[in-house]
Amino acid sequence: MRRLAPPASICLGVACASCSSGVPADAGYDALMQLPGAQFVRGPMPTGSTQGPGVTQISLIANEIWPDLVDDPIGGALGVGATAAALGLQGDVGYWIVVAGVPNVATPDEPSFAASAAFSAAIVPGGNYTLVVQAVDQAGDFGIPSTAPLAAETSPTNPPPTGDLVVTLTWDTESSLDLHVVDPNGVEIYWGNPSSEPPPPFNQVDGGSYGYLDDDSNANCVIDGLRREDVIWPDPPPPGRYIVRVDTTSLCGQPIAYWSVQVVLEGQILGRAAGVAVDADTLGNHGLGAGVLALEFRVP
Amino acid sequence: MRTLALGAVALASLASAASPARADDSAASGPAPIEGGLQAAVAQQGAAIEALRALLDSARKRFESGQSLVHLSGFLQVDWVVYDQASQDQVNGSTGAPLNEDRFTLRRGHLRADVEKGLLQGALEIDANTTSGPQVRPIEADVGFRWPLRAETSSIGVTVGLTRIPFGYEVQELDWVRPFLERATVLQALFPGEFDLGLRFNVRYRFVDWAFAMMNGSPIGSKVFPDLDPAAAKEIIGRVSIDVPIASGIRFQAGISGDSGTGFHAGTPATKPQLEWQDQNGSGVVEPNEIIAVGGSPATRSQLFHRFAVGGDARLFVRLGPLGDFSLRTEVVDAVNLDRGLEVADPISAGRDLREVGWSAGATQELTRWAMIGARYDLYNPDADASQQRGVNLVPVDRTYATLALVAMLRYAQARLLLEYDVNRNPLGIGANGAPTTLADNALTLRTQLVF
Repeated sequence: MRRLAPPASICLGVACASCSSGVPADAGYDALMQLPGAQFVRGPMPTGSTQGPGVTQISLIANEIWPDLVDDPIGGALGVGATAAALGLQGDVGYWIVVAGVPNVATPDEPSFAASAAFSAAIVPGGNYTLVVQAVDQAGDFGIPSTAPLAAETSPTNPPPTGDLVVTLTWDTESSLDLHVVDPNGVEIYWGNPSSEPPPPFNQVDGGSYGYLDDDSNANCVIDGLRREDVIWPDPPPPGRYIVRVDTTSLCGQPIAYWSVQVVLEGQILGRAAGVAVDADTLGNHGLGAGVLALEFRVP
Repeated sequence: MRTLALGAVALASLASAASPARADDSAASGPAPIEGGLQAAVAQQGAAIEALRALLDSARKRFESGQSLVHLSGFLQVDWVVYDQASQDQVNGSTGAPLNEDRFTLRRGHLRADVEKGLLQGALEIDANTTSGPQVRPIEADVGFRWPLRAETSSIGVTVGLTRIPFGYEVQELDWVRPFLERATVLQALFPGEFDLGLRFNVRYRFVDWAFAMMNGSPIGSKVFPDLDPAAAKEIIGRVSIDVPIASGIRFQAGISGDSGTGFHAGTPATKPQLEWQDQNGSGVVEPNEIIAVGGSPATRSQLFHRFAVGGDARLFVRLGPLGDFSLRTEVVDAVNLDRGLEVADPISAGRDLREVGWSAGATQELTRWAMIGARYDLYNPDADASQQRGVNLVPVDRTYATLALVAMLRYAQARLLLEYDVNRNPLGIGANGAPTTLADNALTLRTQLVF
């Protein structure tokens, strides 16, 4: 028996290695454009050929996109014989497969496609992106791609603040997270101390540059929809080492919250960090010194 | 008669104490090797008889003093999913549940108390597991009456409470006896949790077993209304099975099962007309063309629908000398509107009946008493008439789930070490042409099991 068991395990191991099949279960959370409910395929889109059907129409509400834009409808019509559409941003980490639907009234002979797109926080305002759509037929042949230009802007509802140094915390669910930034002087800026400026008359001593917190979003779970907090130095910030922490005061009934922190110094991204807040993060102190370390950076 | 009942309990207790992992699996047991020659074997038998006699005396004293006979038992199954193709270090965006499957998990931790007093019996079994986070729940809780007619061969019994659903073979098969990690997909879908609240009758006469039950129709593993009963109508379930020796070392078991009941489609409350703002251009400003009137709707009533299933199963055990037992097993189920665990059947929403078809076939081979290998292929289609709009055409699609389970097992005393590789095929992916395709979901799992 002892001689029989190891070969059995080896056989199973061989089976393990050889039986991989099917499309990967990849949610595509790192893609710039995401289509919930569609199949994500990692890698570049196929080149396409005239053997496959073409795309006859791409319909967009507008060509403008911005970071964290959600529920942006994308639709159109496909060439006769198409059974699916492949959609993706040029240069993205992958693309999405959407099943073709019944023809629209305006194009009664052509299958339609429709999706609701979301764009990640990594979309860079001011950048130009290209939406690529390819029709696919029953045999899996990809047609010649059609494109539509997309212009990335700043969010009209949540524009980023301006300043010499901006530390920004954003998150994705209606929960209450707090940004804590410790400046080189050891002053912690957070909801309990929203400015590093000392009270008068001490603020007249050096006339230095002070940072301030612009919002306490979703405080006490009063949902304001911003899901963003910034600590801003309008003038050149004091040089030295800065510490950024993220504190989760409450998830407000949400299961989790993905957060990201970005540091912009004089218009240039100095650093980024991301994490996830779970229920265990809500425990303990939420005042001075609270939160998990997001990143440290140095201002020259 | 009292003596017979007592003897049955004592025998069961002894069997449980001596070989708990095989109490319901005698046909899958290998012959015990004779060590030290004939004298040693005789000594072993003598010791076993003495142990039985002592147990009988103890049980008789307790029975005559009016004490209840209580037996505690249980088992633990701890899984290590070594590899799962579907695993991701992400969470489900809508539920927050982690998508990582490569993990250690307490699959089942059962503690069971059986009590017998005269003709009355009771059982309470608690299950603790971490499959979806820490969870403790009753898995079986019933009281019953059993009247032995002719020693071990004939009896009648009645059980009421949370009890096992008498349909099919794998639903009856104990979790710690089953040679494969889980039941076939069709049975997990149609009878999720294997237990339901109700009244069950059992009749055994020689080699034939009859079991009939009237149950709520909402097994403990149901996705909707588990352990509840939204409809007054009850599920009627029955099973007839045989267990016969064909020749020396060859045994045949078979059964047929039926289930007829009533499903429930939940109604909806009335809604008021309302205005909805859809920020179509993302400007954050309410514009006239973005205001949409959403009409109200009257309440809809809850509705009932008929559902049923028929099934058949068979097993063949062949003893192959010192190597151990070889067994074949197969099971087939045909059902309508009965899926309660995988893709819940609701013919009211679908506008048509949902036909479910599934079967499984497997084989196991013991390699002495310490090891076993096996394979099982099972297939389940939750909607045999499924179709999909693909472009201008409405085309039929295959919604079949299939699993090939390859298993190797080491056994020692009451412990098992089981390695299973599951080759899973499902319709959950979308191919490049838009057709359903397999979402990679193969898995390699190592399970340790201890029965006590």
